[in-house]
Amino acid sequence: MNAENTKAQMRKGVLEYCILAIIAGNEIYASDIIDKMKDAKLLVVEGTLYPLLTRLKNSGLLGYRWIESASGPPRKYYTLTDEGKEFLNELHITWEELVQSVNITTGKNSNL
Amino acid sequence: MNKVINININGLIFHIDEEAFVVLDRYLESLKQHFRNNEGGDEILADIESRIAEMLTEMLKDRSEVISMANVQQVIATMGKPEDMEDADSGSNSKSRSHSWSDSYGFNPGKRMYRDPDNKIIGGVCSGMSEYLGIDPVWIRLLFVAVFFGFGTGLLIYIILWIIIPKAKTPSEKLEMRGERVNISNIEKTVTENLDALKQRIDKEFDRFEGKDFGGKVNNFFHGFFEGLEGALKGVFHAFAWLFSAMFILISAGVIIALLSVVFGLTGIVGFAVPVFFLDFFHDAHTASIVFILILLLIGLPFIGLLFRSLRYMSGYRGRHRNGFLSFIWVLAFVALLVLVFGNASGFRSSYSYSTTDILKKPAHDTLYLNANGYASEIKEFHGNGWMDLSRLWDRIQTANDTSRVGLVSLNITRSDDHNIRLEKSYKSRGNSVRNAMSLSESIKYNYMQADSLLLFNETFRIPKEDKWHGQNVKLELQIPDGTIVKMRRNMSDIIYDIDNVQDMDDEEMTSHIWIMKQDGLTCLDCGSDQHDGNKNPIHHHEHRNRWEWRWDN
Repeated sequence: MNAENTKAQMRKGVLEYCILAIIAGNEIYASDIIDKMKDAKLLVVEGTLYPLLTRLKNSGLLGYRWIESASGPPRKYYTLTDEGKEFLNELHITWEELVQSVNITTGKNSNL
Repeated sequence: MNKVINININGLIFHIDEEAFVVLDRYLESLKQHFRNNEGGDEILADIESRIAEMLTEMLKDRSEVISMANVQQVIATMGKPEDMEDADSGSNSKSRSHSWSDSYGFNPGKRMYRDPDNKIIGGVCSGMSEYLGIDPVWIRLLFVAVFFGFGTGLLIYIILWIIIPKAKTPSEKLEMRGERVNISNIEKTVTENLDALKQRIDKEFDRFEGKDFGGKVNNFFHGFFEGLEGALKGVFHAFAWLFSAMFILISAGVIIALLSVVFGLTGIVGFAVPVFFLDFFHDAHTASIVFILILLLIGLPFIGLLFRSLRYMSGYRGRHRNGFLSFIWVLAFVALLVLVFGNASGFRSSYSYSTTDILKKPAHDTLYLNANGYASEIKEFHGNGWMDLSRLWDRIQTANDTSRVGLVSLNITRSDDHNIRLEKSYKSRGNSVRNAMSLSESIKYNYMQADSLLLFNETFRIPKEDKWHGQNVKLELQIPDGTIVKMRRNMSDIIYDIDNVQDMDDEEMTSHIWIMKQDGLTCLDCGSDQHDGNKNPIHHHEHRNRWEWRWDN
C-alpha cells in the first residue's frame, strides 16, 4: 500500500468538484483556474487540468467561448452550463455529507 | 556552438535552442501518444500547447530571447509527465480507456505492427513485419518473392498489407513498432539523428494546433492526403523499379548468354564462328571476324551495363556507378568498327569485269555429259547452317601453295546462235580503283576440262594468295546449239544457277532429268514422258536411264 497513491486518489475525487466550484464563480480562463487551484494546493502538475476540463465539457457540464487577448492568441473562457450548475449543487450536498461522515468516523467532532 | 530553431507554438514564434527543442518535441510527442485514445485528445493537446506558449512567454523577458533547456525542463515539470496526468484523469472512464489501450496493442502488449520506413526496400512492409515478429526481414522478403513467383499473389498481398499497415512516422510509433515502452526516456533514446526532418515535422504539428478552426483542419486533411499520395506514388515507383530491375536482369542475362553462345559454339560448331554471309563483305576472314566481334560487343556492352545497374539497384547498393569503363569500351569498339567498315568498304568502291569465250570441240554424239569437281560440297556443308567455323575456313583457304580457293562459280546454259558449243567465262572483281579491280579480276584463275562429250567443271575458282577478297566471282555460260542433249551429274546442282528452261524447273531438280536444247529453250526430255510419252514408250525411257547410269559409272 502506497501512501502517495492513496493521497492522489483522495485529491482526485475532489478535483472535479473544486473545478466546477471555481468556474461557478465567474467566467474564467484556464490559466486562472490553475492559479486558484495552485493557491489551494490542489494541483500537483498543470497537465492534470486539461483532460478534466475537456471531459467535463464533453459531459455537458461546461461551456466555453473564445475571448480576444491583448497579449497573445484568443483564450478559452469557461462557464457552467445549467446542467453543470445542477451537478455542482448535488456535489455540494454530497460533499457536506461526506465531510460530516469523515468527521464522525475520524472523531474530530467528538466534542459535538 | 548551438543551433537555434524557430518554432511556432499556438501562433507565437519562439527561438529555441536545438537541444531544448528536441526535448520539447519528445515531450509533446509523448503527450500526443498518451492522449491518443482519449475522447477530445486533440483538444486537450491544443489546450496544453497554448498553456506552454503562455508559460514560455511569461518566462522570457522578451520574445527575442532564446528558449533554453532549463526553460523547457521547467515547463515539463509544471505541466507534468503523461503518467502523472493519467492518475488525475481516471474517474469513471479510466477502466474503459485502459481497456482500449491494451486492445490497440493487439496480442503482443506494447507492440504494434507498423511499416518500417528506415529499413524499407519498397514500402517497408517486410521490415515492419520482421520487427513485429522478431524475425530477420530477409526471410520475410524471400517468402514474398517466392509467393510472387509461385502464384503471383505475393504482389497482391504485399500491396494490401502496404495499404492497411500504417507507417511508423513518429519516434513513439517506431518505439511501439519495436515493442518498447513509450516514455520520455525511451523517446529520448530513439530520437538521435535527422534533426531537420524532425524540425519540419514539429513545425507542421505546431501549425496544426495553431489552426483550430475548420479551415485549418481541412488544410491539414489535404496536406496529409497529398503527403500520403506522394508516399504511395514513391512506393509504386519503387515497386516498379524493382520489378523492372528483375526483368532487366533476366533480359540482359539472356542476351549476354545468347551472344556468348553465338561466339563460342552454336549449333554444333565448337570454337569461334561467324555468319557466312558476313564473309562476302570483307577482304579477309580476319577483318570479318574482328568486325563481327565488335558488333557483338556493341550489342552486348549496354546489356552488361544494364545487368550491373539492375543488380545494384536490387541489392540496394547506392555507391558510385562505374559504367564509365563500359561506355569507354563501347565508344572504342564503335570507332574501331567504323574504321574497319569504311576501310573495307573503300576496297569495294570500284568494279571491273571482262569475259573470254572458248569454242569447245564438238563431241562425236549430240549428248553432253556435265560433271563438277571440287570442294563445293564441303563449302556448302559449312554454309549449311549459315555459320562458318573460321579455323576450318582458314585451313581450306590455305591449301594451295600460291593460290587460295575462294568461291563457287555459277553456270548457266543458254542457246547458241550458231552450231558451235561455246563456254563464256566472265570474271568480275571489285577494288578501291578500277585499275585495282581490273588487276584483281585478271588474276582470277579458273579451269575446266573437256574429254569428248564429257565436260568437267571445277566448282571453285582461285585467286593468288596475296590478293584479298574484293568480291571476285566467276560466271560461266555454256552455249549449246539446238538438238544438243544435256545430262548432268547430281553434284552439278552445286554450281548451276538459275538456268532458264521450258519446264521452269528448279536447279536442284534439273540434275535428275535429261534436257535438250530447242528453239524455245532447254526442254526436259523425260519429264513429260511420265504423262504422255512415257505411257507410249516406258521401256525406252527405262533403257535410256540405265544406259546413262552405266556409262557414267565406267
